[in-house]
Amino acid sequence: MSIKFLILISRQGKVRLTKWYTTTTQKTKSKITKDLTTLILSRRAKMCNIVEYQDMKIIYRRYASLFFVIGIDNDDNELMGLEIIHRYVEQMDKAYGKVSELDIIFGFEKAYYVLDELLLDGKVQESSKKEVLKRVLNQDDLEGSEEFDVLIN
Amino acid sequence: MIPNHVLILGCPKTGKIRIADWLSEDEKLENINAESHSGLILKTRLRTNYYSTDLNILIDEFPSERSNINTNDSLKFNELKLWYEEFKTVECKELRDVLDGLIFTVNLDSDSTDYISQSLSLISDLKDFMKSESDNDIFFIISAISEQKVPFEDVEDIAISNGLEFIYFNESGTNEFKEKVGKDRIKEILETHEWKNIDLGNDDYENHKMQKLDDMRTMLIESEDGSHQMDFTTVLDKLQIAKGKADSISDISEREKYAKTVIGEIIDYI
Repeated sequence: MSIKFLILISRQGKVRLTKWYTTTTQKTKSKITKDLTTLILSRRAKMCNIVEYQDMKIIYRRYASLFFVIGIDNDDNELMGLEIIHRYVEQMDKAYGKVSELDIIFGFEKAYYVLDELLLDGKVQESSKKEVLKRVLNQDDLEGSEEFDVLIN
Repeated sequence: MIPNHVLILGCPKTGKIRIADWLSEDEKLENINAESHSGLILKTRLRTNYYSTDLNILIDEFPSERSNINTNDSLKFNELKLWYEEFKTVECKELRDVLDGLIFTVNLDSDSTDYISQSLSLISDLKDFMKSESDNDIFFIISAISEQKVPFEDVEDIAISNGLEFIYFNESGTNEFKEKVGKDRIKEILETHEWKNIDLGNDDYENHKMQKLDDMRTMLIESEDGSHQMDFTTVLDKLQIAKGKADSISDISEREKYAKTVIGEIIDYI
């Protein structure tokens, strides 16, 4: 199970976060993002969460005003994809404390921290919720500490 | 602070004032002209956990005179087309440039599906036009009201097919998917929009740094009572130490140089 990319799109069609796990040109990235934004926003809430696109499967899940979209290979398990999205959202919810779209906009670095602890090269690298949260909190502590100020200055 | 601008556009009786009032909790529109609601401006402030911003809610209406309130759909659409043509002119470029969002309002009781379909297609063209004209991030919302709760799925489909977000203003709160709906969704869109001018309110951060600044400003040589002024005896002590050191320097030119340095330092302290 390897994820090719993860994109967060708002209901207004704005991209809030992207992560690409395969080498893709900027042009292709823009095309995929644009295509998927149009495709997913035009789907109703009760429609299937899995769509075929190019040579891959697109799995998306809507949480409040945000769509979490991932692309996986055709022979990968789509239910596993849905679970990974859900795990990511759950961990963000813990890391931020009731996460919302606004939290991700104004604290996007934390969303990337959580994602980087959860996924590496498109594969789940840490399945323990506690462990991911612990590492993200450690990074937060480091960022807020005086030592970090000294290091970057 | 420079305000941001949102335009609410629609026929009479489509809920423009209701949206403006909902968005501004403190301010309410007063002295509303019964002839026309065109040109009304409501100044308010949008506050979130992360930022606050000044917001000017502009209201525009077609037809421009309310005497034609019961016009049929084709007349209403023609009026909207006239508005659209005028809005696209060079004279309105300044307005287009400052706009951050547009809310188009419809009334599900009085507006036919045909009229809504034609109007939304025009608004979609306007959206494309404005996006091609500048890189500004502009949001577009279609807001609908009705006296009684009515099914709105058909209108929502029309909006979706035109690439626009539909909101039924009669609703509020969240649906079964925990998504904000209705008037709460309008507020959510505004809160998550990337405004051109925002006040990030970094006061805490600045205060924290300013507190540190005082410590950094503290003089390295400080007397016990906290004042950094030297008294006469300290100056004399310093001179005595300098004299002793100067006596130990055998070379006259070196001694004079040292004496000048010491006097310079003492003058600086005084």
